[in-house]
Amino acid sequence: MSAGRRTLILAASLAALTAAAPCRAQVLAEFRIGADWSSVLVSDLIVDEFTAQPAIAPSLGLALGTPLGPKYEVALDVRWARSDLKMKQADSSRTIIPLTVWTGFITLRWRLHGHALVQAGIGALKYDPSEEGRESTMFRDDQPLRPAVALGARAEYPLSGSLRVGLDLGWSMHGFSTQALSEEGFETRIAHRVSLAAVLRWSNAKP
Amino acid sequence: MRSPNVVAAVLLLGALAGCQDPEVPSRAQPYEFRLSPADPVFRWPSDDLPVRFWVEPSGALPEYVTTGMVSWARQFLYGEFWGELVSDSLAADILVSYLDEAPPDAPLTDDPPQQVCTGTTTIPLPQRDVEGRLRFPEPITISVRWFSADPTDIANCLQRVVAHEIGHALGIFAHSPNAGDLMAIPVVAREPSRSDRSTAQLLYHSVSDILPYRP
Repeated sequence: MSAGRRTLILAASLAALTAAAPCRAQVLAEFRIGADWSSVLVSDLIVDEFTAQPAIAPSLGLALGTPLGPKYEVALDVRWARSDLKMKQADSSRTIIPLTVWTGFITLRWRLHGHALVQAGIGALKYDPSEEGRESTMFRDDQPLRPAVALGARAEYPLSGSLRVGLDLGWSMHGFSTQALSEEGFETRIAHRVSLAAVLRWSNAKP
Repeated sequence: MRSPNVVAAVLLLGALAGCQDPEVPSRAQPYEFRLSPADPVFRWPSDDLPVRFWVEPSGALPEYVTTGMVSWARQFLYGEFWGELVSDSLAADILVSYLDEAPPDAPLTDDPPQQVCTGTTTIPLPQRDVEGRLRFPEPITISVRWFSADPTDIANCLQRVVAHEIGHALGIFAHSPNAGDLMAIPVVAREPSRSDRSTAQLLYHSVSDILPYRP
């Protein structure tokens, strides 16, 4: 496990404990499974125009949180998504490198009414490329944590007293660049990610 | 209804930010990578990576090849070329050896380059395969030799020359006209320059006319 990933997981665990500690009696936990779409990370022109863009990635996530009142709750979300970074030209596409994306957000959720929630989060994102062949890609140097912001909405329905199931639609934004791209003269680009996930949620808070 | 307005403003800002498509940077002027503009182009196909190097296990040659291989891989952004060392010469794409014996061990230094070694990359004459495509009938070979001199000068020279010869094996068959480039003659650079980089990038985004040898 890389140092960056360890740092992310440690920070996530500490933040979760901090969030849950003041109200030990009321906690919520979530598991999510879904898919992430990412916008183009790089546009380039060498002989022909092409882009580098992650393919749609299956994603998994865990969240721990606590209610902040009847309408609000705060949670720490940690997500994992993995797909291939693709080089796309007008008439072809090929894999550059398998790419994992780790994200961690502190998310504030606001319950609009019984079934609908909106959410906003701040956090960080880390690209974690496969080791094999990494030297010949834009990810050849260490990948720092990148600050990110997120917005989203969710529809939730009760399964039982403490379990709910939901459909979560989220969007996040971060600045994308790498040391190799900067050395080549590329500027930071705003990258967007859109996620759609099914969420299973457990909470011991009273409805 | 301030909250929905704030959310809408953030979304709009995000969307606008995403519409800015950063400009593609200008790159150094590439040089001609073919011996003649009429020659066919060769580069390693992306679906054949990594390129497999067999290196005579003698002296520091494997270290020089690894350094050269990695320094060329680092000229790319999109996984166009990378290589690995293999122990089976029959399964290799490129064979690297000394013409004679290994020189005495010596560390690499920053001393000025001395021309106390040479290298040769042998590119086989491509032949038509059964499907009519041009293909190399055998692996590419690199051989290096050294002359009597200070062992440190020999080590420094061999490291540079091996990296230069790997450039030929990548498909840069011509020499650079720019004296500071790794692909120039005499070899004074330790690693690819920006001009070498843009030439390699241009080559690896061109259509290859020749397929590599397949064991």
